[in-house]
Amino acid sequence: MSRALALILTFGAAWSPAPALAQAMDTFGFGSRSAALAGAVTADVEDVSANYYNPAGIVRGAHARGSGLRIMAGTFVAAPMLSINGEDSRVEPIHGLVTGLNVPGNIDTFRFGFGLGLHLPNQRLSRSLAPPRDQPRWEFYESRPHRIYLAANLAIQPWDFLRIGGGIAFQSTSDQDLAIRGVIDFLQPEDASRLEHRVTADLLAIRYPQLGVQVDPIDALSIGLVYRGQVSLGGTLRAAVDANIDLAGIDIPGTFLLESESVSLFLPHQVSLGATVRPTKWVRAMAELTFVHWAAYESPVGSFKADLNLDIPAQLPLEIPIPDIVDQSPVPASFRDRFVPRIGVEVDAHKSHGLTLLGRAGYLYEHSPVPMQRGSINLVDTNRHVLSLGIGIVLDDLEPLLPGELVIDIHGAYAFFPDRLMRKSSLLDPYGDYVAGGGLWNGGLSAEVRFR
Amino acid sequence: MKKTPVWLARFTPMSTAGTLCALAALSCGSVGERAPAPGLLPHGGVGPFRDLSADETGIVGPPDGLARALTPDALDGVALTEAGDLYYAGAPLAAAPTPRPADLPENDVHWGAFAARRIYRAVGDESPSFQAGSVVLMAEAPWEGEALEDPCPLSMPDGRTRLYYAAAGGIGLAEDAGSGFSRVSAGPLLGRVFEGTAREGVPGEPSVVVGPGPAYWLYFSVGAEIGVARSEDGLSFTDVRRLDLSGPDETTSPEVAVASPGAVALTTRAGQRIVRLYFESVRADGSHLIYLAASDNGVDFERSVLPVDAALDKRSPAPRQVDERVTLLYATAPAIGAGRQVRGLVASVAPSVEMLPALR
Repeated sequence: MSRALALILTFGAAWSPAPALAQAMDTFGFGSRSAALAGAVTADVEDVSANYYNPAGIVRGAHARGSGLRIMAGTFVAAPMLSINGEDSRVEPIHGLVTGLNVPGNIDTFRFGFGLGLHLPNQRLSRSLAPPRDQPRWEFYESRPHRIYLAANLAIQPWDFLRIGGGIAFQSTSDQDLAIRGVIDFLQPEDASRLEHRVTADLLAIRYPQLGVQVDPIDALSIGLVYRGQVSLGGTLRAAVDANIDLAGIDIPGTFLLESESVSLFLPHQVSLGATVRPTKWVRAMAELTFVHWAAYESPVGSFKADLNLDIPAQLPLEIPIPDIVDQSPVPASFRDRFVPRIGVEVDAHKSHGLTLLGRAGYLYEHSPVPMQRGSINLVDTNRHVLSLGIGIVLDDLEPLLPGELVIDIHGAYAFFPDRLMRKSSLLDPYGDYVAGGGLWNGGLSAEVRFR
Repeated sequence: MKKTPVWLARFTPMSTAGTLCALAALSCGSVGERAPAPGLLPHGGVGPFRDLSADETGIVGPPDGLARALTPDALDGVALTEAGDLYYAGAPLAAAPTPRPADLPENDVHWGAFAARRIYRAVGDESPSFQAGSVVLMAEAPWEGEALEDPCPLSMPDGRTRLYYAAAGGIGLAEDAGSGFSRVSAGPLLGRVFEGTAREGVPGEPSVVVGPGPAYWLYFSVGAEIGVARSEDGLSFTDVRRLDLSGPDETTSPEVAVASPGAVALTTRAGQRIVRLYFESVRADGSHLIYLAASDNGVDFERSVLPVDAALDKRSPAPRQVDERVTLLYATAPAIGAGRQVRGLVASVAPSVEMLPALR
């Protein structure tokens, strides 16, 4: 079989789009205050991060603090240090912008609010990976953070102790087509071929609902419940090669068509139940439990079809053996549902005229939903422990420069991934047994203006 | 009177614009960045193997992957120690070479043109290629006949080197404690096997590893098959049996024999001691393909569906496990030396993306 054919078939057989799963806010947080508290803020979030953590909180701040419009902008950075068998997996760091606003209002005594939240990686608008089906990849950390997230929410407060919110969140994904045409030189395929390609990519947006409730049964206690909807978006990657093979001046027309279908984006159902207690006016303690329905995820590895045709001229006494290209079927993910516990504590460390300093700490644990990878597919993931710390600076005596408060939050977090052994059923597995683990640093800064 | 919403009354354009500008200054933007290249992935030694280039070996072929410059001498039956020293059976041109038989397959060596084979050693260095070796063992004992073939060195923890080899009467053993090789016993360690059965024959092409058990596992060829024997000390082998290396086969030409076992033992990340057995699959169309089989007990093997190397005539596979990712696979390939059909030492590497010379 010629090297040219081998080149085409290897290219085609290896191509398998890798879907991105879940979203960056689950991994890195949204807004530095909430990230510092490990995301355990469902019960009493009130800043712009409520657009992700609990839309009901959009209207909370107006009631609790008498504040009006809130505008937030911030930046985040995450540096994975993940490895397989001690070798750096080179998972790309990510950095970008988070921003949003909460706009409260009222009609007589009826309070409502509108919010927008945006998570914008500034490296690219979208990213798709197409590694070979069986290539080990950190399933939650390679493409997942590289997506735009936008949420638009509405919240109401029918009574002083009850807030309800909901809205639509948007995620970005892409659909790609690749077309190649030209001439492949049979004798020198790498050096003398003349090919041109065209890539067409459509950036798509998908929408899913999110709903939240906050209840304050007593002054020192808040309870929150939030639901985020499931999204499963299929994607198709198509490639078409229309080329002539040049065999010492004789043209052999050929076509190669490839179509790979997979789940290009999957967000599981999530339900979070949290509570915040305020034993004193300067301490807040949070606890939260999130249920994530990963078992609904059907397959990260999709189907693959390919068709190769060569029109060998009659005057050419040549037999070119073309091996069968076996269509490939989806491989079940067999992910498991999980509960994610989170705790956080916030302390008013210092309070004086015009200045409040807050200290924050949080912890969360995520048990990996990915089963032991005994077969040919290698979705790499381990359990995750996250410890976060942060500080908040509230400046509230800024008039006439600013008719309101300026809140600056800074956070840092470290995620520890304990080593996980993936033991293969087959002794002839191309990758063999391996150990995956590592760590991940992330941090950020956000500034929020709260107009009175 | 139209009521103005409360929040609008407290919201002035100037403060808003200034605030937005200040907040926007916190954002950062940059043109899209190129993602880093993927990291090194684990590899299970299953290939596909890539022939080393002339840049990597320092030797220009043909054949591809030539790892020892061609000489008028003939070379056969190669094996390597863990440290990378090469042992091979070779022979200089005979004083009175006999004519090549007309029915001898094209790529086979006509040993009648060469002197009796003896065992050579070539010390390895930083590169994957070798210089010509020096003779370390020649046939002496009556049971050995005229030639020694198919050396298999085994480095011992105390620094000794054991050298298993094939001869006319079976498989023998010599040891080198630093002052040259001397035979361990007067006769073969393993003589005729499967006596009284249709498979009876003299074993050859030994390959010995310290594998699961732990125990010494001796793999050998006899007839058209590969067998195995087990030992606690590497000196006395028992429990001789035939290996079942059958399995799914996607090659068009049927398999007529298996031969030339080349074994390497390693411990996986899961702490499991396994044997990887590279071997020749001889086909009805005359091709010699290299396959891989693996076992966690030394006896029951799982065979690869496809050859691990694309070459149609590579023989005497001799693996060297450089580290848990990288496997070098030495073998012999057809070559022309001084106008005669010989076989050259060739080397290939897996994973194929690995670029040498970082070896030792």
